[in-house]
Amino acid sequence: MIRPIKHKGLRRFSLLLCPAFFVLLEAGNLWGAPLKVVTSVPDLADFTRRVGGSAVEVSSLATGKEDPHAVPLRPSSVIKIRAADLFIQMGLGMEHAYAPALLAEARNLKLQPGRDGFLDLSEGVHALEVPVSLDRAGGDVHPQGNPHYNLDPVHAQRMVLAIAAKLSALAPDQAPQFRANAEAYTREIEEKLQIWKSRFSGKNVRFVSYHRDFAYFERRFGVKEEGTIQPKPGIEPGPKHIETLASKMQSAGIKLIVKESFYGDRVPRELGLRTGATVVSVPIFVGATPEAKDYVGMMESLVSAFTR
Amino acid sequence: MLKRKTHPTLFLTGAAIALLPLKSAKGADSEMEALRKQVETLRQSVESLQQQLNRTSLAVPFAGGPISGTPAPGAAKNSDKNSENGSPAGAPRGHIPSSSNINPKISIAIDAVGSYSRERDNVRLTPRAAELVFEASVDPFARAYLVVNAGSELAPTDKQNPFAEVVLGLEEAAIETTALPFGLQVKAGQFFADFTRLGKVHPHDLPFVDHPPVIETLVGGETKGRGVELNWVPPIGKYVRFTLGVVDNLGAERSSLAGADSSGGSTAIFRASETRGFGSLTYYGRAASIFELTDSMFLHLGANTLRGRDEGTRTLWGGDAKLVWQRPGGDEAEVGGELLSGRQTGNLSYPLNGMEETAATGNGAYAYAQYRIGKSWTPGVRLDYLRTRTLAEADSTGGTTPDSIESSEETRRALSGYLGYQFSEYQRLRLQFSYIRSNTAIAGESKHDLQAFFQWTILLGNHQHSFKP
Repeated sequence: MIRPIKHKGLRRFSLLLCPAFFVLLEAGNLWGAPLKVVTSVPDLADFTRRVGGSAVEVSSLATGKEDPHAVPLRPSSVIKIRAADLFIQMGLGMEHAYAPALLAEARNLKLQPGRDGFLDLSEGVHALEVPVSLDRAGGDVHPQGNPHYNLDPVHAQRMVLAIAAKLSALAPDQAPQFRANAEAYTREIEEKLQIWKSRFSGKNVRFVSYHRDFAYFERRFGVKEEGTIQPKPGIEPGPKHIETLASKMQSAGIKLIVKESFYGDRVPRELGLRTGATVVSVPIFVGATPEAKDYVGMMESLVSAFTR
Repeated sequence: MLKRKTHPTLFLTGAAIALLPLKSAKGADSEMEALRKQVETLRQSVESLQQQLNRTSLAVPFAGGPISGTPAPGAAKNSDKNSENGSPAGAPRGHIPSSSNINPKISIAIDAVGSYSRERDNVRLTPRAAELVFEASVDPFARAYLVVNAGSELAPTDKQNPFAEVVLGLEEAAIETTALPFGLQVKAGQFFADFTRLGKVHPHDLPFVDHPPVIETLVGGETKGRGVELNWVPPIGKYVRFTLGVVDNLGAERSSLAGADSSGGSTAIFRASETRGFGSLTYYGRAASIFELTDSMFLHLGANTLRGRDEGTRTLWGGDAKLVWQRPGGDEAEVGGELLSGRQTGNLSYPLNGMEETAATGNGAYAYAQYRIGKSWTPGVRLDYLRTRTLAEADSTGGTTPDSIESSEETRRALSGYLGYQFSEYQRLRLQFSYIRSNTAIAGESKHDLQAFFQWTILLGNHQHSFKP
């Protein structure tokens, strides 16, 4: 049984102890503790890790292996967001299936949209394929445009710098380090980009993909998507659509089917057998395949799949 | 457009501003100067990239827009598409919110259900629900939502009156806080209380066509209530959610234990208090958690209890579990179940037959297993068990004026099989067959029945996934 403290001075002292404990705790957090960053997709986690180095602790909600429309709502994600100082997302509806629900349940006031701890990297992106009319007769359309801009290395560089700027605002003492790291990483991506571009030169790559994921990649590397296995975004194909697509591929001589790693391989395989086209499974997020362990690795594997 | 173009620089300006007071306070002017230079360099890098993006037209959706002077050939598709649709060249799009975006988000769910009872040879074709949902943030501190529903009951054995109007009613109208500290949230108004796993789920969102009989009978349909609910996700390293609520009554209808009668109406069997003091409100609580067994396997556990003292004293307690396994981008298996036990005691409205004070009791459970193959097909089975001892009005003279109370006991078992087909995230067809067996008549004179259901559900408008433990 706890006996009440009777001594007046002692009582006052013990009352002071409680706030002092929390102040110390808070001071511990500010003094050298890494910034806790949660990103929606692993690509952004890779950027943040490279920019922040040991000054950040980064985790991603999606693993890169899932269909972005079906990322599981994990309780551990709620806990991560709960403790985070910064949440970074790609926006344009990329995370609509999981980020809003997890942010709402985590109740971290710092990370709500519009607050300092919320960074939407689509700010400043002029999205491609913004639908002119919003009607689901067109399938599961993205009202704000195609969100897969991570597949353009120039956008990746922009994201790296925007993350550096945000981290600098949150931890000004570390700004020089963040800048140096960001510059080194953008330089690395830029150098790789030149190599990747050269691998496409002289090649007229035309392909069929499962979903409309490569709009930004197409523009950057001059490749051309000639159709998708899904007749409309989010709509699974029927035999009639596959029939039409197969004859289109045969008449146009398209020999490449690019399947995003998380889609089933039954339909692409059948289509490949019918048309003689090669089916390649590719990552469209970091972490999707063993080769895609970081952004450069993912792009490397993507470029190899298109230029094989 | 110009504003958008310069946006990344805003971060850097912000960073610079953040740096200024910090450093000047220390009086280290040279250091500040150095930092300023570094931020300036970073800003220039962003601008140069922005220009690179502009040159390649990636950042500019329109040919001849104010940023891009010479669009790359790749931009043709987009600009063509745009001019075809008659949008003004150079007009910004994508991020400019339309003024209507400030209006509440609206969504609609239509749940058309056809049912057939073999023993009664009865077909019912109903829009079970036509639900209209409005939701929006009120301000930075609260959000609110409103659910209006026009629908009719799912009662396969009752003949449908073709001239009966489908009744429009208020299902939910609630305000909830969004800015309370320590993981707290308060909700007030009329809402589906966080009690049981499936009682709070709107019928079109259920894994099967109908609410399991144990929920229907002991809760009284959905967990609708008018009152206040506090829920708390404590700031600890594990995810747990606690709910405490107080409502005037919990359940869309009076539960069978409190005196539902067989004709679908309901008459109070227990004497109600004349006024509603704090003591006669219904208080409930729930604790729920989700455990990540592996990367793709989740175990949901929950337990809840309720006590209300209006028409007699009502107590309910229960527990539930659900195990979900998801394959990235593919199949999903789900096994779930819930146990519920209830009791209603008090003074009877008709103190006859020597029964001055007595109790109605009920215990039951459901368990289901389903497997979603790919994105489209979901077959599943459900087992139901329900045992009740209910009280009902009776006429001891054999007439139609009730003057006494009779008790009756029923044990009901059911086996259902269902198959769902998802056209897209917004449209689903479902077929369900249920075989029900009881020790009392449940379909006319018959003690068993085979019922078939056909359900067609669509969602229109905004559709947001929610985290529901």
